[in-house]
Amino acid sequence: MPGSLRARLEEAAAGLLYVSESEAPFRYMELAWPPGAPVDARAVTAALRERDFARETGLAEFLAGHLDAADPADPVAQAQVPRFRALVTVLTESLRAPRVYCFGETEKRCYLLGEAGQTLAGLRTTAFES
Amino acid sequence: MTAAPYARRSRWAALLALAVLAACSTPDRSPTAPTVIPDVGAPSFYTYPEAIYRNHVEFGTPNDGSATNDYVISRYTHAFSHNCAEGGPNWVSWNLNKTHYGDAPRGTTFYADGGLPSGCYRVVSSDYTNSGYSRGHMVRSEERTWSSEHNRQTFYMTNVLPQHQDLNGGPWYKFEQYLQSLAQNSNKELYVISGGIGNKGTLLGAGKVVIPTYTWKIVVVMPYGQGLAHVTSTSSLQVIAVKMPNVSGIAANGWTMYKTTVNDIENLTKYDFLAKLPDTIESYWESTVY
Repeated sequence: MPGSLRARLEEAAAGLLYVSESEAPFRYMELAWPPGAPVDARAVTAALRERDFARETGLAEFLAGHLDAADPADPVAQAQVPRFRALVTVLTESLRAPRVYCFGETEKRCYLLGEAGQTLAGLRTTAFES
Repeated sequence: MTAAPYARRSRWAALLALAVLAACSTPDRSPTAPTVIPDVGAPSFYTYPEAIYRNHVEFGTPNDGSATNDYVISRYTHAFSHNCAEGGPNWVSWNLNKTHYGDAPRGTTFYADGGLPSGCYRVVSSDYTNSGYSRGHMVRSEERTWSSEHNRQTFYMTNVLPQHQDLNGGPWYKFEQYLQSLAQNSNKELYVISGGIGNKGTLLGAGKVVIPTYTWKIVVVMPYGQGLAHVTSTSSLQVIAVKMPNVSGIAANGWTMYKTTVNDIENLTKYDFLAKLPDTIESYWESTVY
């Protein structure tokens, strides 16, 4: 796949907003990850130095509101479904077994992460859920 | 989320299915037709065989003396009056008790409300995008988690008002948590009404959704299982009223600093609330700060 991982993910996420009670952009992130080390919620929490673990989900579940569950009556949301599908494709093709880890209470810090070489990489965004 | 609650729920649901089928078979119902199903006394949050919804307008349908911009819809999970000119609810009214909380996953999508009449603009989620205001639930998502369908009904845009995130995730959220504690930990039956006051302009200046200056909530608190028929004196119930400014900079504030009277909210909204209460009891509680 051409281009750096960062460039591919940033291009795929450019201009997209994760919509919950409010909305937030997607930002690229990566952190060092020992090759072959198990990727689970406990390890990710420690690596991110996060606290207040809220949930772990798959990409499709986390982005459901922008994919199959997008409101058919909302033309803006419908127009972005193909771009969100493309984002999921780029994430799944660029990262090994990407998952979503969310932390916090009303403004959840959510990380869409998977292994890529010696890093754990992906996108972060915010889910506003009160 | 665990599998066990579902298993327990399934067993209870099977036992009571016939009893509740008639009451639960339609998604919409009259606000004057309560669904009362006997409490089974389950001790865990997740063992209730059914969400027991009583009358969502137990103490009277809010009335401002005019039917203009007052389109009332009654759903299984709540009742509300929609203002087509302002793109949001005049009021939303709902019963709340411990049986309404469960483990259904939170919805992921806000939906336009197809129940509104033709000619009434159906607000969509993207009307809020980049406006600087959050999609502020009236009936909280968490308060309708017995099933996914119940939860979905809180994600209709008719159950939403524009709230600054510092309000939505600040004192408003803290008050929601307090009500959850009353319902779950103190075994209370709550009857809640909420809405907005004032006009700070419209989202993105688009003229579709009015931004309220305040959002308010009125809560009648009674022992679990009780309602209007149990009101015999001022001590039969308690009433909490709050009016919170729709502004930034209040995220750290507690909800108690926004307590007010029902009379204050009535004066500002022009709606008459709690009209079914006996007059002396209504007068006492509408002039009392909790």
